[in-house]
Amino acid sequence: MDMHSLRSKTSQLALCAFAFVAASASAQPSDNSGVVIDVNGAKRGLYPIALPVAPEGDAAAKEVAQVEGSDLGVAGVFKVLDPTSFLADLKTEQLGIDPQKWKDVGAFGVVKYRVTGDQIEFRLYEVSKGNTAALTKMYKRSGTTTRQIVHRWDNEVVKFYTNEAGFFGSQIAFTAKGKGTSTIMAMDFDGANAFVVSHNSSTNILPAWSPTGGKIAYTSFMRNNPDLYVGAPNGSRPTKISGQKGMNTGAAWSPDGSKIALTLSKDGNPEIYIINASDGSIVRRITNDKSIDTSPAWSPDGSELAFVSDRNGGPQIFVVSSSGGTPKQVSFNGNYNTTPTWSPKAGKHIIAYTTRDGGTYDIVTLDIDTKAMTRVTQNEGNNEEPAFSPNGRVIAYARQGQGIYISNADGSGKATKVYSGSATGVDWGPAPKD
Amino acid sequence: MSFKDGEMQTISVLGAIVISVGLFAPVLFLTEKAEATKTKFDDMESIEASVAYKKEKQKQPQKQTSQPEVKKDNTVSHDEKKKPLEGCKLDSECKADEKCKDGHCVAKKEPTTKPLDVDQTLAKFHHSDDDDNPTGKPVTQAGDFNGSEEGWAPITKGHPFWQGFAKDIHDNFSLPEISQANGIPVGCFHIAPDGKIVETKVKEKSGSPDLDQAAEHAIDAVKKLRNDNPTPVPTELLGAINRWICIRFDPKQAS
Repeated sequence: MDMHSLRSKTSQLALCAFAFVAASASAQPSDNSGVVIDVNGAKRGLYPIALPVAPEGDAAAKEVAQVEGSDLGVAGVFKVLDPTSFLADLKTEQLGIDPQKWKDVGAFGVVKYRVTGDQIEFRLYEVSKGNTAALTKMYKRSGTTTRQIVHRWDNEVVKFYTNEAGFFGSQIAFTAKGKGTSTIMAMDFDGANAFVVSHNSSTNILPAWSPTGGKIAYTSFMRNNPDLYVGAPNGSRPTKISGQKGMNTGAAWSPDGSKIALTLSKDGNPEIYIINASDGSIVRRITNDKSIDTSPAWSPDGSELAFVSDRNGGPQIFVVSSSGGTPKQVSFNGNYNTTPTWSPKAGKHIIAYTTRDGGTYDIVTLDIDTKAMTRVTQNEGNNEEPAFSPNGRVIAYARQGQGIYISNADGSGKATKVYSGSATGVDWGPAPKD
Repeated sequence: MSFKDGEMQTISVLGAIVISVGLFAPVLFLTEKAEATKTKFDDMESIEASVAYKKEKQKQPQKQTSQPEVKKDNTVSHDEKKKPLEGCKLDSECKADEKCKDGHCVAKKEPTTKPLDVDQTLAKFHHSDDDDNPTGKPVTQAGDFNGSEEGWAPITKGHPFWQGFAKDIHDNFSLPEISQANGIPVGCFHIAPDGKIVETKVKEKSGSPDLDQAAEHAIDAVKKLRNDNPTPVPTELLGAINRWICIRFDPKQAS
């Protein structure tokens, strides 16, 4: 064998070896390329949003930041980031953003604004999409307050992210208890601008907003009988709408505002009735049972009523068609469930109510379709009489002896106190018109 | 036909015995059976009672205060297609072309020819001016980082080091509820033998900006975490870290 043929055979063998290795590698491509570790299931939480104070730093600028932080902090959607962690140079940025600086502090969204003498300009940035504002609005300052302007902007922000109307600027009505008196009051949802609705020295209880927010129905003993009155929130003289013998209590407006469901005991036993909102005439009797039936609440589409009855023992929540029929018990947890209210979320069958667990009262929600229950309060005192925000994301309720709180309806996060003092009969008004 | 007195007595006694047996035997038999049957009925009643007793009312819900624990099992990739070896004791328990060896069915067919010994064969053709220097030891030593390759699946299977790494990433992989979560971003780490993160990169974006940002955030957070408190790479894994270690950030729970 000469040198040439020996080298040739060596080359052939090397080629064969290379081909063998190449074939082996191509048979197992996943071993040498691509992904190694799969991480499944991101934790889902609130949307981190940064609300830096405008660099002008004057009183109006600070008020904007304060109201905005308060609004978005209780929206049930956002986690407002701590301003002390911010890395961006706000004076350099002005109304723009350096996305990386905001990414570094964990912000997904940033709101910038500028207050001038006659207007306030807002910009919303989605950090992951760079330094182009995703939403820009300008509001004239004349004829309105800074607080109202910020509420309007915050509703735009909520709508941008969720496609739902925000509840900023809406109002909550409640019964404030004094020494020997009970007064109907209303306030902004965040506790600002509280005012008296019932101007009398009698006992007034259980307020209910009309669907448009133009009227409030409540029961008053001003003529010595618990009669139902309807008045404007501004405290003008109310009209007695139902003065049947005995109880005229627990009013709930139908979604179209034409009717009111309430409890009447004109025949001796408390039963659920529907009356005309215009003149108080009885439309139909809904329940007819020897037990006590109270606290009616309309479903969002007006087809059903939830109410409380002790017909099966302790008080439990029942649902019945608003045209009458056989009620169906829907609450089975514990032996004491009262004050139902429907979530306004379209297409959902969710109610919130007060439940007694051991010796304390708490707020829970129940999806009537899936039977899934969520606890909204726990180990936080006695909490009663829930009311959903207009978009259903938040629930207001009375905490015995402390005041009114609002919490996320999904049970997440912490409760926020919006009113201090003895209060009951909480009812959340409609979303503000814009 | 007539019987004597003695015969009559005998017949009477025998007749009485037959009648007695005929009467009492079924009674005894049925009583025993009844006893047995009664016991079964009693059991059934107690079962029904017990079922009725156990049907409790709906319990009060509890407020969720923390995220559920993350299962480690699904975080590290593994070969889903690999079939487990079938156990056996006898050859007859295996397929026709298999035999039982060490408790498992293996192929009967033995290699008929010896494998080619490339070194020995090449040695025959060794030339004095050939370059025979060794090409490296890729098993237990960290070589230079080769940024052109990503991943080394077999060596990462189920190893606690990678499981811990995956857990750190999962703990920092957080996406807002309201954000879109379509697609799966891929991020990669260059890990030093001392466990510190030398470099990171986003290899693929998902197309959902918030999801990509969440993945980037997790990568940055793990880089900081591991650099502040590094866990040295175990010896047996040193061969893996000369490649990018890549992570698929799937926002959905593994099914």
